[in-house]
Amino acid sequence: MKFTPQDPPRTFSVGTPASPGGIVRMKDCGRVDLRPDEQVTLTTPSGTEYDVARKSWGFYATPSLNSRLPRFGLRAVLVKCPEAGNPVAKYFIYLVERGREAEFEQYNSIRGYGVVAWLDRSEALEELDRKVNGPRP
Amino acid sequence: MDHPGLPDPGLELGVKFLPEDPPRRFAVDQPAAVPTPLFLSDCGDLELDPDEQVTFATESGAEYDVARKSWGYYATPSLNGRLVKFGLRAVLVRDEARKYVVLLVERGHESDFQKYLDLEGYVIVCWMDSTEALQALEATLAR
Repeated sequence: MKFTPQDPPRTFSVGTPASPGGIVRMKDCGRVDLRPDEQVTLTTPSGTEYDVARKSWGFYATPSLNSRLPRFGLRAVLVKCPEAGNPVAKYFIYLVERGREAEFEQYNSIRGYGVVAWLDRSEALEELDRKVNGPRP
Repeated sequence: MDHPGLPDPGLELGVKFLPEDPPRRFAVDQPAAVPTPLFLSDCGDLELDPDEQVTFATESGAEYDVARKSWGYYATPSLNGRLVKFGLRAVLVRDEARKYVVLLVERGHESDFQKYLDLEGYVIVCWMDSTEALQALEATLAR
């Protein structure tokens, strides 16, 4: 693994003054080059963690959505994000800290983003699977 | 590892990287039918502050950003925009124990990926890699 920090972080703006969420200043802190079968864990002071693992064919972007991820305080959700002037909405996977749902809803509400589906419980995921693929053995 | 951690506490760097040096190698939980154990190397912990991001990259040029917000993370860039542009295709899969994960497959590595799915007993629930696929998923879920 090679971590190449941006030092100082490269600061860039997301959004415009007219955007519903205004301008957000983001910091690009660097680049993580993982080799296949290497992983790093993203942690927060509040105790949440999640692993990103590299494989020869790509990445595990999340640990198990209905097991390890919620056990470490994070809830996955598929979100639709319409953009002004763009007829095609963008979709993202967010991980929401348990207990911060109200803040997350406020963030979405200000920007006009909508939850497509929570992907955080076995029941929700199996229902999604059934709806998409029909009954499975 | 090529970076031993923070080289100088006086630097402005926001992200905290706590390396496992040497990386901790561990066996991955797998179905009993898998003949060869798979190992992962845990390379350490990264701690981002809100509104900080890092980019995960491969030598072939695929990359994606993870951004921390006060309420959690953007675990992916836009699935039908930036992620695709940088050579990665998101897919939801489940294993035999009905655990679900989001994987990002490098374009051009699909046959390698399919072999991995077969080996691990994963099945694809749905691809989430194009506007059409995501709109269809949304419509299906709304029913």
